[in-house]
Amino acid sequence: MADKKSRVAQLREKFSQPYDGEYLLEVRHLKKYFRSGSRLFVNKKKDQYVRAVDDVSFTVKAGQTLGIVGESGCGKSTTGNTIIRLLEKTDGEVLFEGQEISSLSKEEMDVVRPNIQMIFQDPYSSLNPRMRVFDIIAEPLRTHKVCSSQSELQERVLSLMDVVGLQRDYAGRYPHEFSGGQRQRIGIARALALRPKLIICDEPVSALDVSIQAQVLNLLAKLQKEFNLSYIFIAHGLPTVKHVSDRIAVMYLGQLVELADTEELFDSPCHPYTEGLLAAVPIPDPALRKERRSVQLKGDLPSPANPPSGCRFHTRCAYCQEICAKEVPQWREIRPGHFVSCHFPLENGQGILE
Amino acid sequence: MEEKATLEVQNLNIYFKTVGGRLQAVRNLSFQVESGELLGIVGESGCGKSVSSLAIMGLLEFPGIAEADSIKLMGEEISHKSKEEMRKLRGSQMAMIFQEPMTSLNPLFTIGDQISDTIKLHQNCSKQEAKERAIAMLKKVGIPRAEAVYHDYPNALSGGMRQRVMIAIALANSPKLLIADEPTTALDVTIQAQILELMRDLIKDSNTSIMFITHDLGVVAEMADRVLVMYAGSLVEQADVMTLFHNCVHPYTQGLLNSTIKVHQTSGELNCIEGVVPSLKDMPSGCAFHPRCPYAQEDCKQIRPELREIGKGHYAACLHPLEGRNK
Repeated sequence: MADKKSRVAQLREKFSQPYDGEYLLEVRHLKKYFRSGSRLFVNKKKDQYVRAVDDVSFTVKAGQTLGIVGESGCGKSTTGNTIIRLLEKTDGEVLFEGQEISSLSKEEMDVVRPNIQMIFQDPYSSLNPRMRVFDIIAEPLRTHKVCSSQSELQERVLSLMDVVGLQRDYAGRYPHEFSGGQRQRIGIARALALRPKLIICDEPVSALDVSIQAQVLNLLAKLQKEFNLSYIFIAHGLPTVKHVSDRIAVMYLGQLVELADTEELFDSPCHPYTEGLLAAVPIPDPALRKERRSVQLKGDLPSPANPPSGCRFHTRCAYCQEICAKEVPQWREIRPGHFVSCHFPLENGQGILE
Repeated sequence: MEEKATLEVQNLNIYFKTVGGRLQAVRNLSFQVESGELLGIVGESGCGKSVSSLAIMGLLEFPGIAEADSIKLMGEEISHKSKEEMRKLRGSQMAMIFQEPMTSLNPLFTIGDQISDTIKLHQNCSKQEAKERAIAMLKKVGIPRAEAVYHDYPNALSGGMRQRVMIAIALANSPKLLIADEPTTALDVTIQAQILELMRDLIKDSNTSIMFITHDLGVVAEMADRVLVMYAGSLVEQADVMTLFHNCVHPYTQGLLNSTIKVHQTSGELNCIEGVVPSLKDMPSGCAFHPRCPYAQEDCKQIRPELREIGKGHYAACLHPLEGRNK
């Protein structure tokens, strides 16, 4: 009992100190499998597993944004949820400020949680319809007993509303009285309440209109500068991710296929999947209509319960060779800071930037 | 006599009856879809683009009320037709593809049943013929193993495949008008590219006109011949696609274009339209866009701008249209 308490105290001590290590977050060989089928009891021999996240490693530096893109079902949201421990990992390590957090106990995790927060995709279902805006934003502060008095709590919530651009008189309203963009601002205020260091944004703008998307993205960029935040920005749209990210990781069927600096990735993608994703983005200029469409991804995403052999992308790859179906490609650094897992990485991939 | 437009809508008004009174969702909407044309309709959610298409199809249900001076399909007035007559038109003369491929197919019937139903209902043919045509349609929309898929239930198919099936159903009787309501919004970008290409190919060799409703300007730029931009229930700008993207004159269109993230341009602060779309309950006076418009002047608050011709085939509803101010 005493041991447990002292461990919690140690953690509290550690996270109250400023951290000067290289990486804020380090994910090593993270795996998350889901048991599929309808069997009630676990049977190791017969059970099938969906490998939603299969051996994913990456790092995030303080004040930086890592974008994660991929088609639906590629495991990008599961990765985010597993890092913040909304889901428990199957295997691997998650280091936050050098501290392994994926196997901490619930009490220990409570100490870590204020540092990592999350913004969800759907602003319509991620806010409790029976709570007023004030209480939604105050909830994390109350849970972690941050404020000593009611007046301090009130001041803190109202200033958070200022920060995200909500009028103070809206504090007494309920979520249904707001538009999608404003609700997302409420969600952002809630995520900011505990002054986190890392925010995991799971498709924060996909459900919003174009003009509102731009508002929310600008707000996130402003907050990042103001509070020196790090983001993990999960999205299925490359344009959004490009706009906010310093580095981008491309995921396919539970694995990373490419990781590079944003400019580098758009300039010269090395993985055929990245190239295909880039080519699929519609360009908002009718004059460029005919110049593209040379690379198109055929077919659908295969089932993650039964991924293809060898390179998982080989069934849809335009450059597929014999070896691709047999051997799993190595995750390697082909240029400084540019990682790819492909037997035949593109040398002059069709980037979209000239 | 010149060729008739596929669809001609004049002064369409749509109201919703609510406890708080009658709310107007669409105001004096008039437009045409020419034969073989792909007309894009763009706007944010709540601008009235979907309810307008439902009204044209005769699918708008209570509490929605549609009133129009005239809606003509191939020159024939359809706004006063009975439910029974509209049913005959839907599926044969005009068809619709919905946004959610997951919910727009009936999970209790096989893919084949659902396609051949449409064919049997509108064409005088035997079961066997309907089946053959259905399989031919499935092949045409690029579904592999069409004969096997014919007997599958919708749950066996992915989102992209279901949307292909929806397209097959919609085009089974070669309709004159196809309304596609955000057909690719729920799909991944790679699948979206496939579906858009398919739609382009399919209309190339038929004379079907398409009304393509979307909020994605990228998709419009790739697909449309002509574009309507709607805001808060009104048409604010109408032009061919080149003019709209390079020479738009309405501040709202300009704002939309600027806030679209362009993947082939270097980033910086995104331009955005401040504020939010007004609620139907309290529409601003005068021009509905004036509270968000950076160029709004005093008269914008009082006078509701009428749609007027700016250039050839280029219309805008703005008191102070931009000239060469975009870019």
